[in-house]
Amino acid sequence: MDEQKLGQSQRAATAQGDSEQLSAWIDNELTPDQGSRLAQTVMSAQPLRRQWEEWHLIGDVMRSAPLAKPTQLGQRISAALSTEPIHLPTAQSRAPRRAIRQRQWIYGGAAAAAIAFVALVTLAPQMQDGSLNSFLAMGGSAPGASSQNVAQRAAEPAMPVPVQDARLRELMDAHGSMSIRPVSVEVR
Amino acid sequence: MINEREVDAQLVERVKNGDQKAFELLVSKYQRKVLRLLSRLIRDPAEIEDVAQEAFIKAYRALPQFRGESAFYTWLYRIAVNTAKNYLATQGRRPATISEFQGGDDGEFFDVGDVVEDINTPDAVLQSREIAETVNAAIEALPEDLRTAITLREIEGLSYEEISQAMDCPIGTVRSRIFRAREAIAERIRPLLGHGEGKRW
Repeated sequence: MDEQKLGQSQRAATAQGDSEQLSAWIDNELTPDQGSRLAQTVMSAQPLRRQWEEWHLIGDVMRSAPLAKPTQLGQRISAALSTEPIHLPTAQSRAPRRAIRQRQWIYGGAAAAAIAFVALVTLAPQMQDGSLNSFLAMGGSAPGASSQNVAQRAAEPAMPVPVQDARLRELMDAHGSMSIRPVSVEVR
Repeated sequence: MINEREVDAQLVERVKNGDQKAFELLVSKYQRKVLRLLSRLIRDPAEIEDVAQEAFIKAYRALPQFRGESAFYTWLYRIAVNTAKNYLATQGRRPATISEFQGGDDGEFFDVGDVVEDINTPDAVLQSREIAETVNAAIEALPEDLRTAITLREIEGLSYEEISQAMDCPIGTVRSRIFRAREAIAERIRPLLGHGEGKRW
């Protein structure tokens, strides 16, 4: 029972806090972030929307008594809006997010290529011909390493294994296994 | 802190992203001003509401194209005036004085200027007077610090910081006083508003 009362008083305090914030928002006294958060709350809280309506009426009437004129306009527009299509986010508002995703993809690809390069350069001198071929055929997983290690996952998009394997073999035949330079293969 | 244009801009952005309730907030904020504006162009109160509704719906539909280079309300008022002009043209009538409502070339800029009295029915005048008198009585009944804070904000248009300097108190106190004043006045007018009974103001 006490917990129930405590919950009720907490909800009441939160509601009053939201109402006071709404009052400040109407007066342009919140930061943009605070305003955005409150706007989100207001949309799902009928009591706050009613206060918004009442307080704007009060402000209008204080500034100009004739604005106290009764009207059904708000109800009529609400009804009319219910038959209107909902606006979808515009291309303009989506563009920044798309650009960010593209940049993230590019950075991710570059990071993957760098990791793959470091892994190959580090591991290549320690391997014999056969072990390197096996390593490449497995997609770059080093002996004893987890098949899910970061280097392997990151290297996958940057190193199509069959192509590299064939070219590497050609290089190894020409130059010997200890002089492999995988990065030049990757560039081609 | 943000200015009034940014509060509206936040709501406009929400509407553009599919939140129709945000548009209803803009309607409840500006409906009386739009009605008053239209009452200077159209005499019949029923026609005024019809044109106002059409103007708001046009604004809703055009909102994705609103660039935000001017305040939302100047853009809205421009749409309202153009809607009234078109309506009167289809009726073969002319607005009383349209020149004072002309805006900028791009259609987003608009100067409302001072207003003249509405053309109200006697019943509407009576109801308006009742609300106005109740608001005034509620303000008179407020403790002095609350009355001063709400008056400086709503009538003088001072910021919280300016009010805190004028009243020599912290900004948090100003914020609390204005909130409590609004609640006290709203409590007095709520019975007249008839929420939930189809009566709106």
